[in-house]
Amino acid sequence: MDQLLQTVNLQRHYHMGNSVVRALDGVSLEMAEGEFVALLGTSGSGKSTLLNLVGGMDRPTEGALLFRGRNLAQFTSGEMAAHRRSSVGMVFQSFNLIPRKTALENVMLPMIFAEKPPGERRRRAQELLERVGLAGRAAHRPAELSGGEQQRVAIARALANQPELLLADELTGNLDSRTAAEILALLRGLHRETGKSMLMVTHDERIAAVAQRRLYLSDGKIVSEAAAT
Amino acid sequence: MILRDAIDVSLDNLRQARLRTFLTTLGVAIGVGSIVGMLAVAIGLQDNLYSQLLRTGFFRRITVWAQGAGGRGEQQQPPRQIDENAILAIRQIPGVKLITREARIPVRLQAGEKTVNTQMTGVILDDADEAVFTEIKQGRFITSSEAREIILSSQTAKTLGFIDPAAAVGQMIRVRVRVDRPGAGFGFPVPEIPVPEPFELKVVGVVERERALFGDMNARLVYAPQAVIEEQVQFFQTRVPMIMAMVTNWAPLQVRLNDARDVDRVEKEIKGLGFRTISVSSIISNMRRAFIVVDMLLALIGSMALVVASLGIINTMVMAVLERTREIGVMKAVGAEDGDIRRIFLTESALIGVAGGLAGLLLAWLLGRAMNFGANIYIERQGFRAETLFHIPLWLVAAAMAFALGVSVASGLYPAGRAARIDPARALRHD
Repeated sequence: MDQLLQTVNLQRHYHMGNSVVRALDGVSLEMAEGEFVALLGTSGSGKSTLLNLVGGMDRPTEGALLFRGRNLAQFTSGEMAAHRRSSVGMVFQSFNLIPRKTALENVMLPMIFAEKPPGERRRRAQELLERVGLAGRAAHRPAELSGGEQQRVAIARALANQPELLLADELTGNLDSRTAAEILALLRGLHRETGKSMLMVTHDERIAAVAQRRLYLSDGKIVSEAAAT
Repeated sequence: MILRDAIDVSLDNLRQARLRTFLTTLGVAIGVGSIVGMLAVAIGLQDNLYSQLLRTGFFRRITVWAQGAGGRGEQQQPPRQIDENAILAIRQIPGVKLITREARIPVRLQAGEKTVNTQMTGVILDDADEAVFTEIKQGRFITSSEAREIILSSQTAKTLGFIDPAAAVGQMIRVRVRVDRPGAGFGFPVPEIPVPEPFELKVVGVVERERALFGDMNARLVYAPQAVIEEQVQFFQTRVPMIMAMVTNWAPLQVRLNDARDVDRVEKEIKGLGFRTISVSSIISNMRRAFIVVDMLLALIGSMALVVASLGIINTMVMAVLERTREIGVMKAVGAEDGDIRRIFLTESALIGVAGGLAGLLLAWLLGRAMNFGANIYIERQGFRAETLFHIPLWLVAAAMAFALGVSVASGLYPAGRAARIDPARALRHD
């Protein structure tokens, strides 16, 4: 399988007053195309920091982050935006939908920045909403949707520009266990159907179980690795 | 991001904060309205003045004076008198229709027992389009350039005992040319100057002449056909040619043109011959220069309101950036570039500018209509013709819109830059 992602001695330091916090302290990992990987760790382990770096939301302090062989650390701000726009799609714990826009409009948003023609945007957004099981909720605003439904909209939005890698940050953190299971089933189904690469951050072993491979982070370092059982 | 989407997103954002958008736009409208209002009044009054000047008929006329030696310490040109050669030279300039020597003779008018000393000047039929004659109150203009007629001013008519100026029309007036002996009273022996016989003229009209800046003289001036004046001048020319040559060669000429558009060219050519000239077009170009300064001052005062409005836009946009930090983070997370975010916010302030500009123009127009209406009620009550005192020319509309747009976009630069720099990871941190 082709390599999709590789990090080499990846570091991300934050300055807190006079002290330096090493949120990531030398992470080296590889991820193949089509893989479903879970990053596990307690809060403060650096897993979200790593996800933000892969998602092009932040820049490493040191080390290399290769996506399809290109080092994100050397990207211009325009290249970073292009990476966020079309190479990856992100799903967040708090959904991060725009409250006054309908589900359909939220899914269309990434395609506006990709300058897709309006007709195509609408058609694709409709298809994606159908795929995540929200065909009838397209005209609803986030406040009129349940948590699970909002997260489905967010997943549809993340897939809008057909990214190569789907990134999920504690995507079930705000959901009850039944809804969480539904969302995970949706994710697993998508992975099975499309073979899309997925990188998921969680602190919960049971949720990480849907992934093919688990990486354990602690204090900014990968401490162990396990394959799916 | 394409422009249409930027406008869609911006409109949506503006709709979210309706009251704030409305108030900010109102600020711009007041700013634009005050600039346009001030300039429209200035322009309206100026246009009015010009059109009144245009109505005088002076536009086809150039007054030519002799040039004295060393007028301004310059020695380039010899003194140039207005002799027969000069008149011939001017007559040859294309566009010149008619040349008359401005003749103004001192006279004593008599009606019954009453007399008045004044000056009489020559007019020809072409002068009928001058304002003073088009607005003639009693009677009419002369019937020909040779008629034995006279037009009085209302003041001379009163002095001659016609309390109601209308009563003067149709009366015969006795006219005697006054001759002041030069040097008389200083003990010099001066030759006796012969005096022509008095003659009678029939009053055909009475003009209302406002007291001019130059004192009383114009208010008492009376008019007779050019031929009548020249007849008197002729008398002196045959009797005392030496003195008359001295006098007439320094008297100004009235050069009349076929077409007002030639005034500038002909005036330049006459100047080139070495004479001093004055025309309404040269007066107007001087006035224009003075008015530009006034207009600029008024625009500056009006701009103050727009400066305040611009602060309002900055305030509104900075608030919007703060409120929408998370939303900006989301847009960046799904692939918006810094430039996209900047464009959205600049489009928002530009839309405020355009809306404010349009509303400001409407405001100024309504205000102007109301002012025109009010002022004309007063003007008509005073017995004058209603005028347009308020005028918004097309260029002012375009300039105001461009200015409103420019100011609002400039005001949006700082907030838009701030929005573009927002760090998405920080904006979306969920704690």
